Amino acid sequence: MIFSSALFLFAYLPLFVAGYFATPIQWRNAFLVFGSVLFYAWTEPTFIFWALGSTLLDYWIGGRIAACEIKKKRAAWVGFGIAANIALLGWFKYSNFGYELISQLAASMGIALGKWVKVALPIAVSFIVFEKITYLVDIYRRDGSPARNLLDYVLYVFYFPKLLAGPIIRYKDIQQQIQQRHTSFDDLHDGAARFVVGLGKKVLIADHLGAFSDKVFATPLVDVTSSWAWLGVLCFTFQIYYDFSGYSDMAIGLSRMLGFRLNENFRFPYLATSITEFWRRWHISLSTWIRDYLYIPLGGNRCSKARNYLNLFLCFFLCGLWHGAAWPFIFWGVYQGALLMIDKLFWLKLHSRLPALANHLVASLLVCVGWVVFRSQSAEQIQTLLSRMFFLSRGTGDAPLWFSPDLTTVLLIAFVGALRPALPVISGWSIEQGTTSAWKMWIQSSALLALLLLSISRIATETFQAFLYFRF
Amino acid sequence: MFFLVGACIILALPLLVALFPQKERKEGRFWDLLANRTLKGVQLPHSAPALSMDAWWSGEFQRLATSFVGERFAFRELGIRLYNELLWTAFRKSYMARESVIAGEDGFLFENGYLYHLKGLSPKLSEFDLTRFVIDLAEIRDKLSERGIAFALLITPSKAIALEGKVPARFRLGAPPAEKRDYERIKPLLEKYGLPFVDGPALARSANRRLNGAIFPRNGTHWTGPLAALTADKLVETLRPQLQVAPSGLTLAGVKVDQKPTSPDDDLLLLLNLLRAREDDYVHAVIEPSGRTSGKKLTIVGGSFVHQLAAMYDEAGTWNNIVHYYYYKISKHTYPGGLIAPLDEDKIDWPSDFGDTSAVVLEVNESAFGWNHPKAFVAGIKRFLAAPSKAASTGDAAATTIVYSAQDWYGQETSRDEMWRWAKGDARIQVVNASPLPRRIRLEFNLLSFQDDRTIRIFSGGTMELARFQVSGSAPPSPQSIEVSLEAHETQTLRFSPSQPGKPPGGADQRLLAFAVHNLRLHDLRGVPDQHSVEFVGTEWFPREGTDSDWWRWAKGTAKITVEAPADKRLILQFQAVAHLRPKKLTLIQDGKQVWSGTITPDLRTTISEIFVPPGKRSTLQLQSDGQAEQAGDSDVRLIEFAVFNLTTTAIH
Repeated sequence: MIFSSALFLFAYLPLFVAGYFATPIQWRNAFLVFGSVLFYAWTEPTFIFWALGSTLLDYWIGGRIAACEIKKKRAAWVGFGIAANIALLGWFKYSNFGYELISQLAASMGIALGKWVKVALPIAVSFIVFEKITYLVDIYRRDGSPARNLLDYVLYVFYFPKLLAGPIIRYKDIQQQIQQRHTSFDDLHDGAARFVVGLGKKVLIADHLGAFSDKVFATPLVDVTSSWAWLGVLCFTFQIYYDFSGYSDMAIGLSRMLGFRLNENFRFPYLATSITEFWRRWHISLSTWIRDYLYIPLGGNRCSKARNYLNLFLCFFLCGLWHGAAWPFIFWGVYQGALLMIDKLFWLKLHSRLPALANHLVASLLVCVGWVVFRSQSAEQIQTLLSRMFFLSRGTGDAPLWFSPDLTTVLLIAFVGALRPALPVISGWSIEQGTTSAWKMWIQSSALLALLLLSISRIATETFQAFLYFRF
Repeated sequence: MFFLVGACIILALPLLVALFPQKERKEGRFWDLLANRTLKGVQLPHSAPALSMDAWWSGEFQRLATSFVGERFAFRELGIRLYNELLWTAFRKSYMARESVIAGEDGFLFENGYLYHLKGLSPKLSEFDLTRFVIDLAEIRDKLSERGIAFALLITPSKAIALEGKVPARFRLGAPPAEKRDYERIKPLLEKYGLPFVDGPALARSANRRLNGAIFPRNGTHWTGPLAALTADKLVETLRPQLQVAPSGLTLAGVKVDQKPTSPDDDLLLLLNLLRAREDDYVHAVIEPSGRTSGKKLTIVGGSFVHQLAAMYDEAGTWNNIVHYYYYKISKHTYPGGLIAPLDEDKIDWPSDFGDTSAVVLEVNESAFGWNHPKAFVAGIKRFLAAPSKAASTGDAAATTIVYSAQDWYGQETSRDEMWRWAKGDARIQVVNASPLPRRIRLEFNLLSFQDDRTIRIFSGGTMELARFQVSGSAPPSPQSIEVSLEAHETQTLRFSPSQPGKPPGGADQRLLAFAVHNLRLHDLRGVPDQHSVEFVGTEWFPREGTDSDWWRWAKGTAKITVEAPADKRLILQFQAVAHLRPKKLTLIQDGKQVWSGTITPDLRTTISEIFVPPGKRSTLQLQSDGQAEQAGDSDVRLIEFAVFNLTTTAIH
C-alpha cells in the first residue's frame, strides 16, 4: 500500500488517524503497532513473519548485550545479531544476483548449475535491516539503551510512516518519543501540510516527469537522440529527488501528526557545489548511517591516506549494492566512491578557488551522469546514453517521443523547487518558514488545499486508462 | 485551521459517501460525477475482492482491493475530469487512454497510432509479407468464388493522412516519405492479382472537394457519415460483378449539419473526459436507397470504421442481413438491429456466415495492414475453406512406424479396440520415418500409472526432455500427446522414464508394473516445409522443436540450408533468427555471395525475409555467426549457437 494510492488516502489514512486519536493515550502505541503491522502485512503477507521473528531475535539479543559487562562477550552478541540481519538481507535481496553470478562463472567452466527458484524481494527489507543493526550496535557501544518492552521495539521496527522509503531512524533518536509524546494542533496542521507537500511532490512532479524518463530509458538505444537523452536524464534527476524526498516529506508529516519528530532526510541536494556536499544533503539518514556504522568502524580518516580512500571507496561500493542487486547500482556506488576520493585528493582544494556557480554546474553534471548509471539497465545503455549526452554519437530519432509543454512547465517548477533556498522570492513562501500574516496564511492554506485536490485528481486519473475501443 | 478542516473533509468524504447507498439512484450531473457514471472509454473493471486465506497470502486480495477502491471512490470522475480539463486547457495535452489523443491544428483531434504511421514510425510489412497476404487473399477469393460468394478488400482511409495539413507540425512529413507505405505498395499487388478492392483513401481524396472538406469530423477518428455513404456505395459497385443478385447501391442525397454528434463523430473528444462540454458542428449524411433490390447477406470482417458502413446499409436496406465480425474475433454485430454479442473464436459460425453468404468483405485501414486481425482472419478462413480436403491430410502415417524396445516393454495387451503395453521402468520406443521426406509426427496416447502417482518424463536422444506428465495411480488413463520432427529416413529414440520403478501386481503375475502406454496412435502433421524442396543440410542442425505453428531448429555452428525453386516460379524464403544467450552477428551467404548480415538477439526474433531463389535453381544458403556455441540450458547439454524459426517458402511468378 503506497501513500499515493486511493486506498491509503481515502480508507487507511482517515480510519487510522481517527482510530489513533480515539484511542486512550496509554494504548496508542499498541494501536500504532497494530496499524503498522497491518500496513506491512498488507503488502508483504508472508515476509511479515520473517520480519517479526527477526525483530524478536534482535530484541532478545539487545537485552543480552545490555546485560553483558564483558566487552568481548558483548562483541560476540552484537556480531551474531548483525550476522543474522545481514543474512536476512543477503538472502532476500542478493541471493538471485549471487546465483546469477555463480551460474555464469560455472557456465564459463562448463558446469551447469541446478534450477533456482527466484527469491521475491520484500519491500523495505533494506531499511528494516539497517535500523535493526543500529539498535544492536548502539546498545553495544553503550550509546543507547534497549527498548523498555517488546511493544516499543516492534513499533520502532514496523512504524509504518517510514517503512516504505525511510528515513532510516535510530532507536535512540525516537526512544523518548515512543515512550512519551504529545500532539498539538500545530503538529497536526504542520504535519498534514508537510504530508500534502510530499504527496504533491511525488504525484504531480515525480510521477509526471517519470513518465517521460521511463519512455526515454525504454526507447531502443539506436533511436535515442542527444536531446532526448538530456531531457530523459534531467527528468529522471528531478523524478528521483521529488519521489524520494516526497516520500520522506509524507513520512515526516504523518509522524508529526502522530506526535513524532523525525530527522530531515534531504536538504536541497541539488544546491550542492561538490559531491561531498551532495552526500551531506542527499538521503542524509543513509549517508550518516554509512558514516557512523561503516566508515568510522573501518577506520574513517584516522588512518593512512591510502586506507582512508579504500574505506571511502568500500563504503560507497556497499552503498551502491544497498540500493539494488544489479550491476548498474554497483557501478553507481563505485562512481560515487571514486568522485569522493577525487574530492579528497585534490578537487576540494581547487574547488575553493572557483566561482560558486562553476562548482555548482560541475557538481550538477556529475550528479546527472551518476543518475544515468543508476537508472540504466545495462552497461551498453550507460555507454550509449552518455555518448549521446556528450554528442559522441547520434541517434536516429525514429521513436514516438515528444516533450510536451506540460513537461516543460513541470520541469521548470521542479527546477525552481529544488533550488528554492537560492531564490529568496520563493523561499519566503515556504511552509517551513511559518508566518503570522493572516492573508499569507490564508493563501498558504488555499494553495495546500489546491495541491491536495490536484494530487488526488491525478491519482484518480491514473486509475482510468481506458481504450477508445476494444481491439484485437 | 482552514487547511486542516478542508483536508479532513476532502480525505474523509469518499469514505462517508460510500456509506450513502442512495447515491446510485440519484440523477443529475452532480450525482454522475459523484458516482462515477459517465466516464468514456473501455476499461474492464476489477471485481470485488473476496477475502480468503489463500487470497490474502498470495496478495491477490490486496491487489484487487487496491484496484477496487481506486476505481470506485466517490468523486473519482470529478477528479479525473478536473485534472484532464486543467491539462487540456493549459497545454492541449491529455494523458487519457495512454496519451493516445493528440491535438492538431484548428482543434482537430487525432489518434496517435495514425500519426505514427503517417510519420513512418510504425512498423511496415516486408515485401514478402505483403505479397503473401495478397496471394492469400487471391486464394480466398478463388475458393469463395467456387462457392458463389463474392469477395472484396475494403481499404479505409486514415484521418492523419487524409488531413495531413491538420496534424501537429511535428508529425507532418514535409517531403514525400523515403519509403512507400504499405497501402502504396499493396495497391499494385492487388491489381496484379486481380483482387477486387475499394480504395478508400483515393475515394476520400476525391470526395474532399465534393464534401467541402467534411471527410473526417474534428472530434472523431473515423470518417464522416457522407464519406462512409460514398464508400458504402462504392463497395456495392465493386462486389456487383461477382454477385448473382446484386443489391442496389445507396445514394448520398445531401448532407445535414448540426451540433449533435452521432456515434462515433466525437469519440476522441469524449475519450478526453473533460469537465466542460465542447460544442462543434457535425456533418451527417442524408441517404436514399437508389433501388429496391437487396442482397442476401453481407459478412464484413473489420474494425470500427465498419460500424457506420453497416448502419448505413441497414438504414438503406441494401442487404437483408449484415454480419460484422469486429476485429475478426472481438464481437459479432448483426443487422438489422445492430445486436452485439461477445465472440468465442472457436465458435465462429463459419458455415453460415462465411459459407452461406452473398459476399465476404475484409476491411483494413490503410495504416493497419500489419495489425493482427487481417492475418488472423486470413488464417481462419483459409482453414475453413480448406476443410473439405482436410481428411486427406491427416492420419496418413503409413511411412512412419513405432518400434517398442522388446527388453523394456511387456507384450501388447488388448481389449476390444483398445491396446496397451506395460513397462517396469525406463522404456524406449523408436519412431521410424521410412519416407524420403521429412516428417512432423504427433504421438497421441494415454498414460496409466500402476497403483502410485508417478511423473513420467519423455526424453529424445537420451538427454533432451521433450515432455513431463503427472499421472495419477488412481485416475483413469490420461490422454497426452507429444510431437517429434524426423528428417528423411531418420529414426528417433524416445525414452519414457517414470519417477518410481514398477511393483508386482500380486498373485501369479510375476511382472513389475510401473506404467502403461495405452492406445498409442501416430498423426502425420506434415508441418515441415514440403511445397518446395527445403533441406537442412549437415550435422550442425539439431532436430526440429516447437509446435506446428511455431517451430525452430537450433544450430551448433555454421549451418547450411538448400532450397530448390519450382521450374516456373521464383521462390521467396522467410524465417526468423534468434541467438542463444547473447547477441551475435549472423551472416547469410547464398551460393557464395553474402545476401544478409545483421545482429540477432536472444530476446527478439529477427525476421529475414528477402532471400530469393530464381526459378528452377537449387540454391545453398550458409548461415554463420561470429559467436560460439554454448550449453543450451541447465538440463539440456546441447551446445547451440543460433536458431532458425518458422522457415517458409512462397513461390511467385
